[in-house]
Amino acid sequence: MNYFLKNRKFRWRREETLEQMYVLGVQSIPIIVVSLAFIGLMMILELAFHMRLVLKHDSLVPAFSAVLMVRELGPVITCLLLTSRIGAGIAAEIGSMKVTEQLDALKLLSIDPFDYLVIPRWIGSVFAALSLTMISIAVALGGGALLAAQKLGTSSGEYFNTVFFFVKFPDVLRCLIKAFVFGTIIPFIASYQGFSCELGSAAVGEAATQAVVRASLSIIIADFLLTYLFYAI
Amino acid sequence: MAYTDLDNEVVKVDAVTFDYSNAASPVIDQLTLALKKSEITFLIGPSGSGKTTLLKLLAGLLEPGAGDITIQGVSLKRANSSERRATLRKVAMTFQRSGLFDSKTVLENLIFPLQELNRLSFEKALAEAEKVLDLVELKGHESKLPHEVSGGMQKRVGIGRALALSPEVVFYDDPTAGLDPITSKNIIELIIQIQKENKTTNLISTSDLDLAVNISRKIASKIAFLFEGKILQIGTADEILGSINPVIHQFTRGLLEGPLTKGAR
Repeated sequence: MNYFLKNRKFRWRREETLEQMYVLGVQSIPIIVVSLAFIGLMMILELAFHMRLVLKHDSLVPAFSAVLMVRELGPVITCLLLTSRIGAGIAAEIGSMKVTEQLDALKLLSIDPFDYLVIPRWIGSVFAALSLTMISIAVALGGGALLAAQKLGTSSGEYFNTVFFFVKFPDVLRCLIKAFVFGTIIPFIASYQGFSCELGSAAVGEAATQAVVRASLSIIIADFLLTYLFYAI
Repeated sequence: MAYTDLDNEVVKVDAVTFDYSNAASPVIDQLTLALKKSEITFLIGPSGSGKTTLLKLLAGLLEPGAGDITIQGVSLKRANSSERRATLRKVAMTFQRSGLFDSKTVLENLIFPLQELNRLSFEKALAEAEKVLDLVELKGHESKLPHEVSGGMQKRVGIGRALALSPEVVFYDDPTAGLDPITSKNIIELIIQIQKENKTTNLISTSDLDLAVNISRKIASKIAFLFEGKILQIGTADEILGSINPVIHQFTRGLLEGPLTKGAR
């Protein structure tokens, strides 16, 4: 942990950072957007079924689905999917750099591996978490509006009126705070696993697995703590 | 303490001890060694004797648990961070597994340190890197990735990258590991040629006794024998070959019975 905390002079690495924003963010768009779109559709169906069963009407389905999507599922599912896509990759990349003495080569060139490898991935991951959360929520709501029109007979106008009535600016802000925190958790845990990886190819695989497991658990725990905090203030 | 020519020892290792946190005994144990200016010294010893660890300590990649390392009169232990950085910039090292950046091409591996450390513009770094490419005879392979070139070429790129920054001290970690005898000899010849041109101080670790002995005789360099983290003997090739130390005797004769294999069979 001292390694992460010791005094350092950070250097802005434009090329590496832009590359990571592309690799971690842009290349993750398909899997995350498709997944969130289907989760959004599934949520409309489930909420409609249960609301009809218990409340005997489904007029609040758009409201509940949008609030749940913005407050919880949007940032959490997006970042869990992001963890499985990029967390393992970051840990394996840094781990194999350690095994093949590339980290030693960086240190020998007076290049701080933390500055060179972690900071660009952190910026790339936060960018990915924030932008993909927003994009996937928009896609999920759009898909929800189409399904609601088909299954519930709610017009798009009604759907979005209800959504914007219930989803307030603080909800969006909290969603972005969560995405920022989760987007920070992923590269730091994955990098830590990579840096502390033992030598050997099996150890690299283990570091990648541990990165996904620990980052996923940390995101779920952080989500609870943040939600608790948001309701407390 | 400033470095002067009166003190011809460029690198001094003074009672250095180092152990990894999970090791039962120190990997480097009260080791003392001196490397003289513009000389090549071979470091030989059986696998696991601490050769790589010693080179990493000398290059500042590991911190000694006890003892001190002095490079050109600057104690790495007592130097402040900027002195230490300035001293270590005069030191280069090649790695056993080449340590090349696998996402960068051969040329980019050479340009990278020039841009990072010397802050050269791309054009200047490219011109410097092309000179190094010529020196290590890798023209025509510049756009290949490390995994697309042979093991011998990877070693050459590693040597080129180490030399790109014009170091005064170079540590070579088993530069012939896994190479055929002809390629091994070519690599060592390249190191000697570079040493003659640049007058660098070199420490070459190797497990290849024949190669170390042959080259050592040819250029009258010394061989240091490392075992269990200690230098057992330093001397000419003939002194090492004629050593009465039972460990060195077994190693140089390739005997199956002796202290090196005690308990292993």
